[in-house]
Amino acid sequence: MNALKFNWRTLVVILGIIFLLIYPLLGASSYMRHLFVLFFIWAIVAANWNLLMGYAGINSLGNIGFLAIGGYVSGILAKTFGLSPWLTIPIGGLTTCLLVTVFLGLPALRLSGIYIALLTLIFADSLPSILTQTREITGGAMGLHEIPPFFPGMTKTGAYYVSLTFFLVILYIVYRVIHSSSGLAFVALRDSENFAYCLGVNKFRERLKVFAIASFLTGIAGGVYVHALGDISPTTLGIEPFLLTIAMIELGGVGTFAGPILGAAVIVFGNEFLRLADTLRLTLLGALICLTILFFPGGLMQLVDQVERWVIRLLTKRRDLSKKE
Amino acid sequence: MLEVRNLDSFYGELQVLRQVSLHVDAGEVVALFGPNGHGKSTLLKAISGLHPPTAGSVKFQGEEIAKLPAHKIVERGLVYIPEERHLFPDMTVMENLLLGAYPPRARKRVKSNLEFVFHIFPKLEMRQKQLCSTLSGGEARMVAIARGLMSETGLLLVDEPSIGLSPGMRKAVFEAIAAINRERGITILIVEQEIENALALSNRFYLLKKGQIAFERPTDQVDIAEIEKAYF
Repeated sequence: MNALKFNWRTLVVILGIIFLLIYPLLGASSYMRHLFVLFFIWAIVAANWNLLMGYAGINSLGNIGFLAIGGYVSGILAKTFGLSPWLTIPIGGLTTCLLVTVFLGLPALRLSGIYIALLTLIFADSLPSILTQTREITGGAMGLHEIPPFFPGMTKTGAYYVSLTFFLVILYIVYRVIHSSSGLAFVALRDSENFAYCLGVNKFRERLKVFAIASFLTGIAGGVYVHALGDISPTTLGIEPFLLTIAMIELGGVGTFAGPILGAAVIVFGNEFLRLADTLRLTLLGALICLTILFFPGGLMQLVDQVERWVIRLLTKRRDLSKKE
Repeated sequence: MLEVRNLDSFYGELQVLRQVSLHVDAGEVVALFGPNGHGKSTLLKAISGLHPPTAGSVKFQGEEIAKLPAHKIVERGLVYIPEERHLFPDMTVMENLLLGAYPPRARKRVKSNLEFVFHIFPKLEMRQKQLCSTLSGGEARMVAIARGLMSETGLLLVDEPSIGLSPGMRKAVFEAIAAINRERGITILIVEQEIENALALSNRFYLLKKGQIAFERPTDQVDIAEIEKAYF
């Protein structure tokens, strides 16, 4: 039974990756390739946010801020100083990691629950005003435009494949972290701090580690964002991207690996197709989220698990029947 | 191996432990008896660093550990298994066991420790992929003890392992504890209310009353009447 379960999931992942690899060759429109790039980026953001919120139980509300820092640092270095994006993306990630670990990670060791939420929210909310104060470098409310692409003369297909590579590599890293002893330690600290100490879990190290990993990888996603799309402005830090990303995690399933990725797919593509509904777009998304939370509090992953159980039960029943005959 | 001297412990204003001294030698099984609410669990928590003592010294393998944070104490091989069966419900049995192997020293020996754990608790091998929230009380107890063994333990502090279990399960748990001591030479300090069972597997015992050690005896000179008197 377990083998069946295992095979089924691995198969879906392999088919998914193959599909993503050949999709642009199947004659996808430029618009669809653009949507996929957005999906790759937001899936990275959501997966790392979930690492902090779902696995480590740290109610961070500032993860869009991580994306913005990584994006701005990489964008400014590439545009103003003419550095190669391949250099500026890691620099953006490291800067994000450093800032977040010092300003959020260290204080968060002494804070719990709602206070971490407040601290991280303030951190992200302070960024737009910092950006408008430093108009000369950051472009202020207008934002940065014409940021150099990953390589000169990049097409939409180029952007697609570069973002896809980042998407696969980063999600693989997140997966490995979740299944490492640190991943278990995050969950242990979330569920029962005192008891985690009994097992020798070092809170200081693990808490800083989860902030460092999540912020570094989200900062990298910020770099991918600016070089793939070409611009960034303080609207990225607005309320809509924030709520939509939270919605991806809730919709997909908090504390599951695949959940936020599924959620990102539903929200990114759903949000675009719902543009047909015009002003009703956010209302419809809101209704979808309300329904999910009411009927599947574990998100889409709960639905997937449930369907999987039904199917397995059905299959085993049939097998038993045929044995009897 | 463990040398506790003149330990004082407080919960706020309330003094729970008064000048407690005891020692556990390498390879021994020592039992700690005493009425409920007289400080047995507090003593174990003080030793393991979860509720650090206010005064006194705790020496483990000759080194002072009273001021160390709990995770550092675990790294040295002193492992406390609390009375509450705190398993992480969303993790599988295997994940709980691997979490026990968190200390760097234990990570290197995961494989041989796992083999030993499955040798002591064969049932867990069958249940390794099961979520811990679906285990019975006795199985959960086994996972809690097994997880302690995964930390490359030298001294195991076990807090009331038999509480809330059926008689058959109790017997199994006591047998497992005896086997852990016999086969791996792991030193054990056990707190129990099942006095007869605990006496059967220990070399010495202490009786803790009102936060003080009332007396200490080798198990072969036990006087049940004396223990009963201390309880009532």
